[in-house]
Amino acid sequence: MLEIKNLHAQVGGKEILKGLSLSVQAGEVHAIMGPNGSGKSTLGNVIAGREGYEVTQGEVLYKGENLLEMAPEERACSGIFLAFQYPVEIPGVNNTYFLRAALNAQRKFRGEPELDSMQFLKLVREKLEILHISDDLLHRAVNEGFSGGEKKRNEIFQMAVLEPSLAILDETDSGLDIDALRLVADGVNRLRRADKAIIVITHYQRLLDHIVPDYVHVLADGKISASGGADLAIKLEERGYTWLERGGIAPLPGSNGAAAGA
Amino acid sequence: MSLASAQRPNAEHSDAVQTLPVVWLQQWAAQNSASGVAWLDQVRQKAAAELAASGRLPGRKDERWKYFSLQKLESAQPELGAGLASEAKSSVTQSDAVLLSDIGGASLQIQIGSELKLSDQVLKSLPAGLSLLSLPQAIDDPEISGQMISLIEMVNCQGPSRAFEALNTACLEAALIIHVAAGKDAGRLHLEWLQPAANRLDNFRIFVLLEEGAQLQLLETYPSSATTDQKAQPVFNLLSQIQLAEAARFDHLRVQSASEFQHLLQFVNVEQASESHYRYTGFEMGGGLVRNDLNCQLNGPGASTDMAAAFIGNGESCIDHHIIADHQATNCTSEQNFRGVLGDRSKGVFNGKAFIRPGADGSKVRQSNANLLLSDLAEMNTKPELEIYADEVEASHGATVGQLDEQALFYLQTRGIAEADAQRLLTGAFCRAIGARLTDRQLVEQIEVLLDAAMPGISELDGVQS
Repeated sequence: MLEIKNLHAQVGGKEILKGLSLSVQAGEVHAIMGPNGSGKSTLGNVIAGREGYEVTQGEVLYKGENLLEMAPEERACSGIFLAFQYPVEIPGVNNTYFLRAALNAQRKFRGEPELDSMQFLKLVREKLEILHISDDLLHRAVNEGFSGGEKKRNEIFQMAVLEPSLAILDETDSGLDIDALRLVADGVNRLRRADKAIIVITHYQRLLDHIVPDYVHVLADGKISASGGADLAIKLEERGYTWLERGGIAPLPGSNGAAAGA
Repeated sequence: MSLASAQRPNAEHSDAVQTLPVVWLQQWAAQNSASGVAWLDQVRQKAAAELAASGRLPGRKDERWKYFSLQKLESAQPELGAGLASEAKSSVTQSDAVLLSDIGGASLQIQIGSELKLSDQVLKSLPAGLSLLSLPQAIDDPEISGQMISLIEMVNCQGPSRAFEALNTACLEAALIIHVAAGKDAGRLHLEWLQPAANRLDNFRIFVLLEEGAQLQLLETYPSSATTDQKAQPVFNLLSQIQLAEAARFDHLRVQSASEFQHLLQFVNVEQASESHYRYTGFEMGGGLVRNDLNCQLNGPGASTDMAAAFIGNGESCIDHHIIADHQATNCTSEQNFRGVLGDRSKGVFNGKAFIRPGADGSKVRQSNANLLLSDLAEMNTKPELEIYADEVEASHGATVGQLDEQALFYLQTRGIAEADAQRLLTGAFCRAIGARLTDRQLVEQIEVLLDAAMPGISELDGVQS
């Protein structure tokens, strides 16, 4: 699904990613953890195609194609979804209108018929019900005046409607209470299917109690410094990132994600 | 230039190049004789004398016109639509499509430059309490002509910056008087202005007289004259005088999608008695030179005005709003909310003034002007001004000029929406805030379609960002 090889990227002339490699197969959930400033969010933004994130070396292949040559909307239409750490408020654009425009743009791209407003509303109501989200979110402008929790819920709701092949959650758990955290986890778990992959970027282990990852990677100084199974997250929670830095565990053989791709 | 020579247009000695106002006065005098109504002849002559004395169109030196170049008129040299007698001389083309359809209420099509026809069919369809009169009819009604005369006398015709008001008064002939009787709600009246595709300036005057507690919504629309002839650049010089008696409520809407060769100049003066309400909502989606001067005089306690517009600049258009709210009495409220989207080489001007006169305590004022520039060559000149001479005043004002929010654009793209569509979505949303003022959903939907169609493309922004 996703092959990242020796990725170097800079923001404003400063190198943030320094040779990151990662391989994600369909059906897998990968967690990327790491201290602040390690490059976690940069990775999400590079994959989504944000302007100002310059790739200086390496390559990113998505379903065998060069992702870095695609515009952000092409990436989205090809099935990549980034749940933002800070979802953007867009006054004046109705949430329902926006999401229908997005879904129909993606369907059109894939050569599927567009949904009319009745069909769309039916789909949306199903998703809201499954996720236990109130439908008043439909009538509001995109994220405008939403609380932090509501914004994150809206991201998960969008993800549920768009059904991406590869979802990247950028610290979606930060600032959430336990109910909202469960809702986010539930939304992600519902997307867990043999043909889909998920990357969960997080600072804390607690989200991983609810979304049990297949692989956990530790990002430090722009590279993956360690990879392991779900238990690695628990050890990190107990001992802190400094434990790794002190050489607590040896990087797995052929690490930098190689283990994950196996 | 004296009045005497202005009235002798055929003098063969005129050697120097003459200014447009002088030419127009000559054209008027050549085709019109005295009206036979003493007061009318008097106000015409007085205004003609004032226009002749200033002798030129306003220019950069005149503060009110600093950013609004009349160069296009100077080069096009439009002829004066001198009186209804000249109608036959120029072709009046009907616009090919109506701008808004099936919107209900009474409606009247006005062919600019032609004789105003108030057919029996139209007059019979009017709701109780609403009357429409032509100028001759209004002159015959002593009560209405009394109100009209006092309003006309209030028009400032002095100096070059008032040249269009002076011209409109000097050539006062085509006029529509709209009267709503006390306590009546006349609903909606739709005026559809059809501008001829002719190289001509036409004057028109509207009087809106709302008696005590009366209500009216006036919707003025300007479809495109569908001309592509650069040599035919029609100019419309409309002066609207609105008198709101105690507790009258006037809802004034304007929707224009004129072509780039149509020039629309509008001067609106509102006189407000106590507890009266004036509400203006404009949608400027076309036109070459577009000028909207709105001047609200809040004369009685508790009067309020709420003026807003969305304007979209394309090509080389210039859209200028000069707004005045003059608080003369206690507890008056005024709001100004103007939003512009400017693309290509277009230019926008906002000058919003609120005066709080001595003793006008308890005034509330809000002014806001927000603008989006979508091209490096587009320009916005904005100046909200407050002059406060009273105590106990609540006032706020602000102006912004910016570009599309990059974060929002990226967010939409990451959901699959193409960049150009995302840009349109965001610019549309920016203007929809003005549409949200209207309660008629059907009308709003039609206007939103027009707004979306008028949105300029984004150009040369990439160069700025990288």
